[in-house]
Formats: sequence, C-alpha cells, structure tokens
Amino acid sequence: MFVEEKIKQYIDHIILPLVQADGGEVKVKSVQGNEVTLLLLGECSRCNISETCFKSWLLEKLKVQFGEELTLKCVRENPYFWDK
Amino acid sequence: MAHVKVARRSMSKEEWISLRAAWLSRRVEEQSVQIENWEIREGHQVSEARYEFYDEGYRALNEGDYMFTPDGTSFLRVDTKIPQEMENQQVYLKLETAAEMIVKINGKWAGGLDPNRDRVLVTHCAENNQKIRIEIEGYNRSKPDDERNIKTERLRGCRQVFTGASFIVVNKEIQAASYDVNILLETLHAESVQEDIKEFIKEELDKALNLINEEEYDKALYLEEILELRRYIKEKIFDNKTYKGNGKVALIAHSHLDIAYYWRRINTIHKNARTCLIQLRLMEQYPEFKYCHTQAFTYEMLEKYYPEIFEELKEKIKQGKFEVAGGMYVEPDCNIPAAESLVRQLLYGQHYYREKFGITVENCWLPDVFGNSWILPQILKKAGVKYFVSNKMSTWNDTNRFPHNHFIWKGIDGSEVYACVPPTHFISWNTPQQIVENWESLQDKNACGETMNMFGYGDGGSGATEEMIEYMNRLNDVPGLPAVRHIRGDEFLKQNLEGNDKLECWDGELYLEMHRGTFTTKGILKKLNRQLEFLLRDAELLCTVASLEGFKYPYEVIKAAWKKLMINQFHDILPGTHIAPVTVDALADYKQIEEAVSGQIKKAAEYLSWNGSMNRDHLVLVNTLGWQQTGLVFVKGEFTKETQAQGCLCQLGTHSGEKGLWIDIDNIPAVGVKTIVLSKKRSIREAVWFDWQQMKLETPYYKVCFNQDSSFTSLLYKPDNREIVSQAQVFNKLKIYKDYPGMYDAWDILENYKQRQDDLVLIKPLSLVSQGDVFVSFEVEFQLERSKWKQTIRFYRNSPRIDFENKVDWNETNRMAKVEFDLNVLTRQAKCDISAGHITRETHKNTTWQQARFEVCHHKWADLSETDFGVSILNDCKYGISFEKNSFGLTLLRSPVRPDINCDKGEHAFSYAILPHMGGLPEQAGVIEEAWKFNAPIRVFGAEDQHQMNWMELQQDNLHVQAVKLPEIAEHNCIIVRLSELKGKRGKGSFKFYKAVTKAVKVNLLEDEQPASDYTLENGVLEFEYKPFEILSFKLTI
Repeated sequence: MFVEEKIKQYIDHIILPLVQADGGEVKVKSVQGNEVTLLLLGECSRCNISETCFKSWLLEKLKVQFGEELTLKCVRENPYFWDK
Repeated sequence: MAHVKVARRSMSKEEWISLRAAWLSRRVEEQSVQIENWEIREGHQVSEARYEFYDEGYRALNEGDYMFTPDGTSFLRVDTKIPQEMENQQVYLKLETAAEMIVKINGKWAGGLDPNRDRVLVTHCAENNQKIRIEIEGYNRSKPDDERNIKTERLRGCRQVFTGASFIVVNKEIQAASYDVNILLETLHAESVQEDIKEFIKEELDKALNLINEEEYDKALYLEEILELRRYIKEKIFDNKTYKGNGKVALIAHSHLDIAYYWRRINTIHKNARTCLIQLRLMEQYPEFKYCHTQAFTYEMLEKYYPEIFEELKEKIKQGKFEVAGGMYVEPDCNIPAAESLVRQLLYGQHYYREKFGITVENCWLPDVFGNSWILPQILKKAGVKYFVSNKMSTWNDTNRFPHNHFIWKGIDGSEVYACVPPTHFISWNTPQQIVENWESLQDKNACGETMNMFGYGDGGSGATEEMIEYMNRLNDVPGLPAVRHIRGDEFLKQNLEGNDKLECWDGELYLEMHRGTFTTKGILKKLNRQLEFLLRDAELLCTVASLEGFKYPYEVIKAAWKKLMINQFHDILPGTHIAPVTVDALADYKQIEEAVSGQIKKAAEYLSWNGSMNRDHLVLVNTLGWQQTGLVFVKGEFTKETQAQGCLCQLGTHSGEKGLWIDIDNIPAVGVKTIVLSKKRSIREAVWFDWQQMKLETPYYKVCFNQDSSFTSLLYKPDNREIVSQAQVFNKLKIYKDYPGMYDAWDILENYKQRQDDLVLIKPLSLVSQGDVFVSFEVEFQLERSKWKQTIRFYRNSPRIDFENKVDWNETNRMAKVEFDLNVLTRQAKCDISAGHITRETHKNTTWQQARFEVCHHKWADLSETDFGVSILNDCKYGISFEKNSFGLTLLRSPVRPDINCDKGEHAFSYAILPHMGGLPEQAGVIEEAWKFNAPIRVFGAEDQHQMNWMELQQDNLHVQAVKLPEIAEHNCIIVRLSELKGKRGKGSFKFYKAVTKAVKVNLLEDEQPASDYTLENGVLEFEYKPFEILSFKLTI
C-alpha cells in the first residue's frame, strides 16, 4: 500500500473518530512528498488554537507512524454559516 | 455641520467601579501554594466504565505541558500534604480548566472542576499533617457551550495547557464583599433595571469602594476597610427602601443534561456524576440550598457507576434538598416517539423512582424539547403526572409569542394538566438582568403572581455554582429587583398552579415554531425507531400469549430493549441534532434491540409450535393488529416464483425494501393467526387486469397519465370517476430544495427553502418492470450532482393504494428532498396522525399562527379531504410534512452539516403511499387501518400443521390494541391490555380474550389499579365505556 493511502487510512480510522467525538472533522486533502495537507472541517474549522494544539499533537503521531521527515499543513474549510 | 460621534476615551464612573471590583476580587485568595509533582495518564473512554490508555502508566505533568487529546479522558494524580502555613484553615484545591473534572481526595468524592468553577474544598477530606492523594478524572470537550468564564476561554480546545494547581485559602469576608460589589455592578449593566435606580446604585457603590485603599495594602487595615465597605453597602444600598422592585420570582436550581449531543452517551455518565457531586457539595456549604435533577436514566447510571455519590444523594432526597423531577426515563423528543413509547418513558421512569426513593414524581420536566404532541396530557395524567414544564415555546418561537407561561394544557382526549412554560431560558446564573427579564416577560401575572426562573449551567450538566447561590441570597436586597425566593420545582408548581381557577386553557399541540428540521434529519434513526416500536409491540404480545401457555416471559430482555430505545428517543438523539459518533452508538443500540427482541419473538413462536423456517407446507400468518386483515398482505421472506398460497392471488415483490410475497388474502383474524397452505404449483393467470401503453396506465381503480419522471399529470379514480391531480399537475413530484437554515441547520428549516431548487436529472425514464396477478410496478431513476435515486411505483389489482418505494444513495450537502402532491381537493384543513389519534391543522396561511406551521410533524398518515372524498398519504418512516392550500409535501431527506458534517449521507430506503378514499373522513374510510398495515407487515412462521386463533375478539374498529404485555410487577396469570381510541368516537366497547378472564381491573399507565365503575366482566367478555381518543388499560386475570 502506498504511503498516501496508509496516511489516509490512519486519519480516517484512528484520528477521525476521536475528532468527530468533539464535533470536528478532518480529511486528507493531499500527500505530496513529505507534506500532508489536512482539511479541518466542522468544529475544527473554527478552532482558534488548532495550530498550536491539535496540529502539533497530530504531527507527533504521524511522525511516529510514518517517519520523522513528515510535515503537516492544515487548511480550514468553514461551513457557509461561519464565512463572513 | 455634520454630527460627529465622540468616542469616550477616558474612564467612566462605571468602568472605574468595575476596575476596583476586579482589584477586590484579586484579594479573595489570601494564601496560595503551588502543588508540585502532578502526574497524568491519558486515554479515551470507550464504554460506560472502560478506558483505553495511550501510555503504559502515568507521566509527570508540569505547568505549561499539554494535557488531553481529542475525545480525551485524562487521569491526574498527586501525593501531597497541606502546607504548614495553611493548617487549621479551610483549604481549597484550585485548578483552572476548560475540561470537566471530578475530584477524589483520599478516596472520597470531593467535588467538581470545570469551566465554571475552579476550586474544590480539600479540608473536609483531609487533615493537617496527613498525606493527601488527589485523583482527578477529566473529560475534555472543546465546545463548552454552557460556560461564560473568560479565564478558561483561553484554555478551550481538544488539547489543553496545564496551568498548574495550588492549595489556596479564601478570605470569606473579602469574598462576601466581592459578591456584594459584583451583584451591584451587574445591576448597573442590567438593561431592564430603571435608570434612576442604576444611577443611585452607581453613586453609592462608588462611594463604598472609595473606602478601600488599594494603593497602600496592609492586610489588617484592608480587612477593616472591607468590613466598612460591607457595612456601607448594607446601610446605603441593601437596606434602602426607596427603590422597590415589582414582582416575585421563584429560583429553582437545575442543570439541563443532554444524554448525548456534542458528546456520547458514555461521556454523560461522568458529566452526570460531576453535576450531582457539585450540587451535593453546595448543599453542605449552603444548608438551605435545594436542587432539582431529572431523568431516571441519570439516577440509574449514578447508582451503577458512582454508588457512593448515589448513597449521598439518596440521603439528600430524604431531607428534601435533592429534588427528583420529571417522571420520564429520559427527556425524550415529544414529536416522533409513538404513544406507547411515551407511556414507557413514564412507566419505567416512575417505577424506578418508586423502587429507589419511594416516590411518584408529579411533574414532567422537559425544558429543552422541540415541541410537544397533543397526546401528551392524557399520558401524563394517567401516569401520575399533574404538572408539565417546558421552556422552549417562550423563547425560541420564531414567529408568534406563545401567549401563556402558566396555563392548563388540554390534550386530545380532553385530559388536562397544569403547564408551566417559564418565560426565559432554562440556563441562567441569577444575574439581576435575568431576574428582571424573567418577571417582565411573564404573561400571566394576573393569574399567577410568581414566575419560575431555573438557574444553573446546563446542556452538558454542571448546575449551580457558589456565585449563583451567593447572588441569590442578595437579590432581595438589590434595589429595583423583583422579590425572589429559593424553592423546589414541585413546591412552585403546587403553590402557583394547583387549583388556580384563573389559569387559561391551551387546547392543542404545543408546536415549537423552530427546529422543524428535526422531523426529518438523520432519517435512519427515525426509520429504525419506528420499526423497533412495532417490533417491541409484537414481541410483547406474542410473548404474553406464549407465557399463558407456559413460556417464560422475557421480562429483562424486553425491559432492557425498551430502555435502550427510550434512551435513543432523547431529544438530541432521535431528532438527529448531534455529532457523528452519537449516530454510531444509536445504530449499535438499535441492532442489539432488534437481535434481542427478534430472538424472543422466535422463541415464543417456537413455543407455540411455529418456527422461523418457511420450508414447510403450512405458513402461519400472525396479525398483531386489532383489525381483521382482508385484502393485500405482504409476507416478508424468501419465496419462489412458483409459490402459490391456497388459491389466493400472490406475487413476489418487495415492501419497504424487504423481499417477500404479496398475497391477496381473506380474513386473517384480528390479534390472531391464520394458516395457509403453500403449494409449488402456480396457477396460470393472464395479467389482463391492467393496460399500459405510452405512459398511460389503466387498472381496476385508476386511469393514470404519467410524465417520464414518474410524476402524474392525471389520476382518474374510477370508482368515483374523479380526477385527483389538480391543474398544477404536481403529483408525486420529487423536488430538491436548497436548504440553508444557518448555524442550527440540523435543527431548522427556513421557510425560504422554497425559493431555490436543484433539478433532478432523469437517467432512466419510467418503465414497467414487474407484472403479475397482484400488482404491476414501474421504475424510474434520477441523478443529482452526488446522488442517485431509484423509485418503484406499484399499482394493485385489488387495492386502491399506490405505493412508492425509494432507494436513494444520498450524498448531498444542504439539500432537502420533498415529494409534493397538489390535489383536486378543496379543503382548508389537513388531518395528521399523531399515533394515538389525529390532529386537524389549517392549510391556509391567514394568520401568523398558520404561517409559522409551514412544516409540521405527523406519524403514519396525513389527509386532505372534501366532504365525500379525500386523499391520504401514508409513510413508513417520515415525520415532516408541509401543507399549503390543497397540497401536501412529504419531507424525505435532508443533509445539514452541523453538528455532523456527514449527516444523512449514505443509503436510504423508504416508502410512502397514496390512498384516495370515498367519504370525507379518513378515520371512517379505512385510512388508519391501512396506515397501520403499511407499517406492520404480517409476521410469518412455518408450521407442521394448521393454526387458527383469535387471541382477542375486539368488537370496535376504532379501538387499537396498543399493547399486550405482562405487568411490570409480576402477578400470577395477569396480563395488561392497553387500547387506544383512534377515531374520535365515544361508546361502549367490548372484547373477549381467548382464555377465560376471571377478573378485570382498570389500571393507569403505571399499572396501578384505579377505582372505576364504567366496565363489567361477564362470561369472559369485558365491556367498558370509552371516550374519543382515550387510552384505556386493563389488568386481566386469566
């Protein structure tokens, strides 16, 4: 299995249920080289501290699973009623 | 010259007061010593009492470290001692957190910490020089919507920074002064308090604060100044008699606790324990404090998982401080559950309270539910409940102001209960503004001179705080405010409503003019809830019959199944207003219920010498409905094309997505069984009963003209030679609306949805796909941007019912699907099933009251009729419907994105049917019976030989057999039979049970025997009087 697919499965099966339990939602947008781009949806999209807390926690976990060289980019995608 | 608005840059007197109040608050903590050497173990909760840990053991936790993970539960601990300098004083643990923590000190439950409270008393669990072990279980969620503490806002998130913890000593006098000042400061901010009063308070408070010298702090001097400040405030402000307020407000401590919402049910175990513990500790601190807590389920969970707290709580119940409120098992949605479900909410709730606390709760406490069905007053009254409390209509209605706060609510059958709709939100914190606002909003001042104000944080529990109680104790002294008193909820209801002849009467449903989407959102939950309601009904009936033959009645299995179903009827679960994992939990529960209950049906059937195998010559058809079934019967199961059923017309097909055999059959007895003999030879019949060509169909009942998209341009009902489709030619028209109701989009539908539509793309035009002796069916397929929709339409040879089965792969976002029918029927009223009767609603939009009801809840059928003819729509799992003039639109699917971004995405299978009828009253035209049949297919079993049985001979077709079961408290050879009158008739009814009945007693819904003389038992026949829409229960001794 390609690394991209493995990362997607890890996010979908391990991380997503935890995030959903807090009203959040995450989706892998892309894996290009060592850079994983993650969409932050639901409550995650309006979390003010996702950069400092969630992202660092997830990156730590991804590195343990898939190697130290990974980088993580998080992109917020607000639902329509949070876009002003 | 243009006016230029000048922004004030210098400090106002109010700001100066505010600043000094903040300085004062900082002196409250007299001593503080950091607690070192904390340890943490992180994990997450996977079931009620099980956790999965991320680490093998504990690790050190230092100030500045992250703690918690998404959906995390963390365990913190420290071994320490009370600092020497704090000995012999009241010492608190202080920890600021946005998480929800429950604290144990030396093995004793000490209290709770959360966004609203940051300290727990240590010294009632520990002594000087004694080693102290502090253990904390914390559950973290990033959306604490019930907190207003700015200090913890910065800590919000699915991870948190540990900001340290300390032992502190509080100076009680400074604390009291701080409350004095803060409540007055809040009065200055209160919009509803008169300006002259605020001016007076401002002047005097300013002078009072001038007594404090903050610049040169000397502890002894400072304390003297504090005493002087308090004396000044008392004399000048609190004792002032000039500025009197109006009104009277009763303060009821309460914490609303959603069983699941932005958290799972398993997390509520901890939330509930924390909430109860906090209130118990407040009762120790404030002996006069009383708190009311609802939902038998929460007490059950406390008893099971936190027995020590439960024992304390029991003691406080005996003392009258902890009030058990709300007779129901949970606070369910009160639109969608059927009558028997609501009965069980009360039956199991009240029986638990009786068993554990020896009380029957006289109120139904539903502050947050999304409207209340008209069937409720009767059910409440017959379950020992006199009072009904619900807040939503007063503050959430988007169109009309509900005209009462205290009133008599009259139900569909004429039963009356006292109702209280408090004028403001059920979450408040006793600020002066909230108290004045509550009184000013009260609409029934002449009838009732006191209003109810619930206080305490809620939704996720938490409840009252020390600050709320301290404010409460000062409110009567604050100029310009209504008089307040702190009482129990039941005291308020009894004192203000009981026997109050000035109360006006509201006769009708309590429709909430908001949250109209909850009739449709998360369709799978609605579908399974309905199926399981029917399954449980059948299981109880069959197990009862089998038990009379010696079968062991599965009390525990059935009770556990009901309880699981009832939990999932909670008002944020069944309505679909929750996060994704709550749906996963509900579906798992539904699967367990289905397996357990079906298993019992199978065992009961086997006991009665039937079995689940269809490979027999004899097929036992079980009709659990109270009506003899003649005509079209769907038998679920695997059959072959050659199957022939004893000369009856039959045809393979599906119903509601299930495979089976359609049989045109005579006389399956009501509440009974009939055996038919299957043969493999198929009689050859020509399907000459219909004609289909060029989008035109003729059957014995209809001449139909279709569009290719399956909508009808004409439907001629042959028995009356009547055209049913109006000139608008909208009939079975699927419409996809853009559905953007805003932040609360799982909850709401806005009326403007009609303004924008998407087109369904036709990918397979209507074509004939199946024909036979019983029916002819057609299929059509559509596509949306991300969805596929297949519809099967079925016309029957011997029935006027037209079925529409839908299979949808639905992947839309913010789209809503409706099917619309514009009828050639002139009427201003629609009738809608509400499960134990029906309600009539206007279809015009003359007033704002009708305009607001643009989407309403119904159950199995709805109808538009003229005097001698009408058209009904039946459904197998859909509850939302709209009416406008001569049309109805059944709401089929939604796709909101909050709180669950994937809401309703996936496969859906559902059916609806159209049933034209002669006669203008659907209740007299067989519509009710057909709607029940549409939802309750005949159960089928194999057998070796013939079985023919009629367990209950019920003479009246307006009486529905709602439940047949054994009594909750087992009595030898006794059964409970519950009937409901469905057609609005009054009269004498009678039934005979298949076994000799030696005694019959009327019981209420709690199964208590009732004194009544309106029934007789002679020769095994029970005769009784009944009223329109009455629910009657009897206990029969066999």
